[in-house]
Amino acid sequence: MNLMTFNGYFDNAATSFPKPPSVAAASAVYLNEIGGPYGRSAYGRALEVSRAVEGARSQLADLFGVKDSARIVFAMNATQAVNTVLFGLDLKDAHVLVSPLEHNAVMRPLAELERTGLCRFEVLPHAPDGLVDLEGIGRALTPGTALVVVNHMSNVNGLIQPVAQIKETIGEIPLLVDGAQSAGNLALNLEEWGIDFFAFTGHKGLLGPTGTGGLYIRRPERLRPLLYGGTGSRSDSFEMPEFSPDRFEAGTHNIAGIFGLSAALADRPDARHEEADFIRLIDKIRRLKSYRLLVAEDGGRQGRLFSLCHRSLPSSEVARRLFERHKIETRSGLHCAPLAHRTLGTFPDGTVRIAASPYHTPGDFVRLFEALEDIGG
Amino acid sequence: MKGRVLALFKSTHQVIKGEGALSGAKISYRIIPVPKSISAECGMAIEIEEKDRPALENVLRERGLDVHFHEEQ
Repeated sequence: MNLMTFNGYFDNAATSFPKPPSVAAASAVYLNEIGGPYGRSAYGRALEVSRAVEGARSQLADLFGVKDSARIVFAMNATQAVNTVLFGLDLKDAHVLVSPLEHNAVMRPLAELERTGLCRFEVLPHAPDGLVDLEGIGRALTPGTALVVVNHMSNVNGLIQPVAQIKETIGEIPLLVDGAQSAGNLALNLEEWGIDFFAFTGHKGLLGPTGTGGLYIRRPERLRPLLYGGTGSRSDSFEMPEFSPDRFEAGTHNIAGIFGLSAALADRPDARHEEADFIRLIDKIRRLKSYRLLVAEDGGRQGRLFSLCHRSLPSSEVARRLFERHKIETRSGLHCAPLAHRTLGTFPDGTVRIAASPYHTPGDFVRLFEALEDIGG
Repeated sequence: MKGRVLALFKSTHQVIKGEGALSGAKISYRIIPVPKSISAECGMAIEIEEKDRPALENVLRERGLDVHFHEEQ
């Protein structure tokens, strides 16, 4: 992408683009020059790869406010990380509370657990924009509540949930935070906040390759693995190792992807726009009578994405016109988050989602606004 | 080799952490495959001189790393 021209890619909540140039270069160096496995052997290539993978793990721990990087385990994406928690905890006969803006990465595994009679779930009390009602949490808890799941930054309206206060309110009950949209976009301090599980992906806000991501686990000994297989350790046993990260990393890692992710973490670009530019874009669209905006009520809880729907045109038609007339790429529909759309009153039609990246300039936002104005009338 | 010991770790993660600790403490080392006669550990062991063992134990303890030693015959 030529960044001197208009950047019309606003689908960064699905997968971010562009990436820092060093991302592809680092993956290529692994594929073309280094090769070799993570662990398992002690020759030069294996050692170099092992150092790089552990280096990436340490970078993530530093970014997330985690002291012991062994508590960060790699996975292919946030979905796998969430599944690791939901199928790895003992949720038999348990009650699970979820935020009202959950993605299907959470809802489909939970629905499967409920369908097979293992657990039941309920939605936390909340405000109309999906903000969890902290004072109402106490009434929602039951003696059997074994897990609370909260989407940190909504992939529909961008609302940022107060996860530290939620953890403070629920005490010892484990909190799983879905950080698919927040990692890379928000400052994180997982240990200080007392978060028990944090699922993240590498290919959205962290600006890394697809197929990378992982899970922070505060107490790894309490979780069963999702995948079983070779780890290069305790190879004389049919049992998975009991220690992290090996317990949760069966099979060969996405090493080329992890090289790229490490480069993305080391080479993160400064944003080419200010937060105020993004807020200004929202305020300008708010004044267009033909659109309904889906944003956080409290501007201080707004991440760098939001949704809109046209008063008469279907969202798919708005997205089509944005692309065909203005070369603007957005995602329309339900964004794999039907619960969020039910909460926000946009189910089943869905919305058009606008998700910014650090590479957007204030000029890109102006062009987007003009396109919406042109289409919206 | 006489006068040398092997530091054995349970995971690749810990070997790399251990290597970082050794580099920081300026202790000379070699990373070698774990001899099959010793264990089925993670594939890498760190070989050091016997005289450096107390220093290594100190730096590893500071970092909360588990290690056990095997004296080479």
